[in-house]
Amino acid sequence: MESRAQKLILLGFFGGLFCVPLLAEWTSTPFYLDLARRMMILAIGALSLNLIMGYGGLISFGHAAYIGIGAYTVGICAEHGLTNGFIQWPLAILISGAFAIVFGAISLRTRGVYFIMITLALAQMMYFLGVSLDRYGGDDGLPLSERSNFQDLIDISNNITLYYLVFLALVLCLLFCHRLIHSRFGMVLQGARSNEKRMQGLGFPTLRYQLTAFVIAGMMAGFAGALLANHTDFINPDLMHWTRSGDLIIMVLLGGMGSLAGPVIGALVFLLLEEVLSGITEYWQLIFGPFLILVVLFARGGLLGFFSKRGNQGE
Amino acid sequence: MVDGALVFEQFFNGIQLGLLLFLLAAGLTLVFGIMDMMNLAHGSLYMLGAYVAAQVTLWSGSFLLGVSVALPAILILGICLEAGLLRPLYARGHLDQVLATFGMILFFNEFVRLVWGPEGIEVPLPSFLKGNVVLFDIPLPNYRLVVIGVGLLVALLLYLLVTKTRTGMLIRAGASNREMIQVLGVDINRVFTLVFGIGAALAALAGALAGPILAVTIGMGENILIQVLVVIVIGGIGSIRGAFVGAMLIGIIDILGRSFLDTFFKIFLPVNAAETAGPAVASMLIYIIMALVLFFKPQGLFPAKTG
Amino acid sequence: MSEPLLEVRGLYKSFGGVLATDNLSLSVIKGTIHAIIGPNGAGKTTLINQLSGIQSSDSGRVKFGDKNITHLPSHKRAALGLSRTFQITSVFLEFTALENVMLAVQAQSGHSFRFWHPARDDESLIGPALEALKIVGLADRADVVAQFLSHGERRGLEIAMALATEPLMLLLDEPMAGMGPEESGRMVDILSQLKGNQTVLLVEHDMDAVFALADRITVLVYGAEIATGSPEEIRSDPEVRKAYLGDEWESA
Repeated sequence: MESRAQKLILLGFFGGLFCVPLLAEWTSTPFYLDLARRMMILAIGALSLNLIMGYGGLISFGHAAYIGIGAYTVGICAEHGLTNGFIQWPLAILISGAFAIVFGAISLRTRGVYFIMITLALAQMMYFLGVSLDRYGGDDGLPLSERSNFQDLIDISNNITLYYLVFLALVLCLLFCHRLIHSRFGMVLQGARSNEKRMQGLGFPTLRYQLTAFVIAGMMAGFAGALLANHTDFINPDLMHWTRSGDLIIMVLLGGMGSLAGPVIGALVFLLLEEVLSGITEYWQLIFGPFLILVVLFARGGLLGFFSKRGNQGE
Repeated sequence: MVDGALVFEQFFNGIQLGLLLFLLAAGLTLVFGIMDMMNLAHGSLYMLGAYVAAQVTLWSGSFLLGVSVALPAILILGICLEAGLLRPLYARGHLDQVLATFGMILFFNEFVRLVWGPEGIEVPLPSFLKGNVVLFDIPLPNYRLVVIGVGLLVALLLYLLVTKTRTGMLIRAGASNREMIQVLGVDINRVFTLVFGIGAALAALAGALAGPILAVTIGMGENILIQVLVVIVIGGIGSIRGAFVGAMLIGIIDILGRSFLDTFFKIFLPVNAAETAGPAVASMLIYIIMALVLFFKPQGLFPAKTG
Repeated sequence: MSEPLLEVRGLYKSFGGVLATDNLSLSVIKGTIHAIIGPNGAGKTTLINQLSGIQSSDSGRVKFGDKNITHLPSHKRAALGLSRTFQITSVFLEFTALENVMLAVQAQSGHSFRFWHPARDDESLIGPALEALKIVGLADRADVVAQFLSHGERRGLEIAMALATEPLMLLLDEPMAGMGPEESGRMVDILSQLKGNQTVLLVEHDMDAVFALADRITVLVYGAEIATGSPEEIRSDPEVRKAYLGDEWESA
């Protein structure tokens, strides 16, 4: 169970997020709106990764590929004149899901080091595919001709409207993950992480549950991709580069893998660090690299872990 | 119509790439297999080897000196890294190892950018190796022949080391069943340092050799690392023989694919489609091969693990 | 006369030249605890492995109820109700004792593709799990994370998990392994609760426990059965005394 402190932090956090557009207006710095929106979208991506990595124990180094697939679906649709969001977004989710089934089926035949490498290789393959598609910008990327159109329901070409839509999406995804983890399905997933052979000994066919989790995570990341495409009005293969997958893993780690909302905090910390450090020096990764190593070596349980009660962990 | 000479030339290039990949894969597969450690920073050692060799070559004018300095320099760096940063990570899970070595990649890339700038270094071909050997009217660059020669020599030495020496036997036993050799009283830390050291030296050698023919730039390590991972997955973790077979396979298929796939597609596809599909599929080819191999053999072609 | 639930006829198993199981026959009557004892190397664990289906036999026949299970793989035997525990404990350390057993119950209640309702509040899982924990005396430790249970408690948890799958018969492989006298005493209490309700085949070294629990005992030496009978019969059997000369066996 998440501790009191964790819940308070989260509440404060979301309260703050809710007020960002107002603050941005007031101080005339749209930059913060942009940053916070990007953070929320990446948080959805990190949440989805946490499902399979934190709770499932499957270290996927190719998760950014699904964000990219979702983004490209929206971009390619728009390129061909299909700007109806009611079609684009479900399509983005379905197509990422389809890729997740195929990649998951291949990768889940293995475990451990093999699994990490295969997910990495498959994602990088998508990157190269994106680069080679000259029709859709290739290396230079693809500008989004027009944001997703939801007719009279909502107009996301307005930046603030998009912001609150993303905010809502994040809250809904968080709720969804919460139900999922505590359900019977979630128990099987966590049991398989804890002791896969024992689960099989009890009679659970663990593979199909893990594959399902993989697909759900892929679809949620695809959804994040659709949001991202509208956020940046631009889609490029770099979204799928393996270092982006590394970023997602870092976010999950920074926030603490044992908790549901950790990745959200992790996304915030990651982006803030990136902003602050690159403000100090052009060579900010010289600091960030060792920082990461130190976190790994000394801060087990991530940052949120510092605030949670030790003892009855099981979340 | 396809030019036979061109095919041969690209086949030759494929072998050369394959041997470079082998130098990297051999070291890394042992790290994965014996130390069960996910070391992503292997590519960084390759990059640093290339940069150091390039710089020394530019200063001294001697390519040989460049290589001779790079090898021990990176070897020492590798051993320091292993003893200092990586050792606490053995007991941790793969995730921690992935993250820590990822942090190292970020650091090294930025470090290189700081010292040498973002542009990369141009390494001229060593003058005594300029020129070609002509075989069946096909010019084969001397330098590439030397790379192939060195690669094959290293392969032979590794083979001898692993099959004929006591150390090699320890390495093979460790790859097959780590707990067992610990039980037999072997100091596992010495074996690990040795294995890591061999890997670092091979990576440095590959980097130094690659300098004149591939680009010496930031991020060169990661580009080739992905291919090396594919090689290892196909060959089987912990197996040097697997690394060799996998590397040759990937090197040849990758080069031939990039050169001739669109031509091949033109046989049964309209020109436009072939010219789009060709490069696209070519860039994905080695991953498709990997997926196929895994489908039939999830542990790779020559898995070393028994325990 | 009660029907045997498990019937073993003429079982043979050899590894290379070593005969691990030598023409072994035994019957376990429903509702009884049948113990297998014997000096080290007698082939007790090999026997359990063959009965649970992990190892195949060279020849012989195993009948469970009225089914011939000789060639059935282990997960199918488990599905038929033949549950086993292992010498090396294997519970879910990050889950509480209750959650561990709930998982075992969940495994038996259809598929788990349920994504919405919290499993931890599911009465249909909690009820049977608590029952099983009560039997092994861990009901008051239900909310303790398994990592913090003592070795003996974890062994008890293993048995609770086996019981939660509502087995027809239990194969217990040295449940007292690695336990001190106090923990062993507790385990004996737990197991004696099963008398009459469960059918158990028990492999054990701990003689006190065996004599306290068993309805019938089979003595195994070099893979062959040298005596079968009630505890009193075994205790006074001269062949058995000879086999155990110098071992844990002292004239009682």
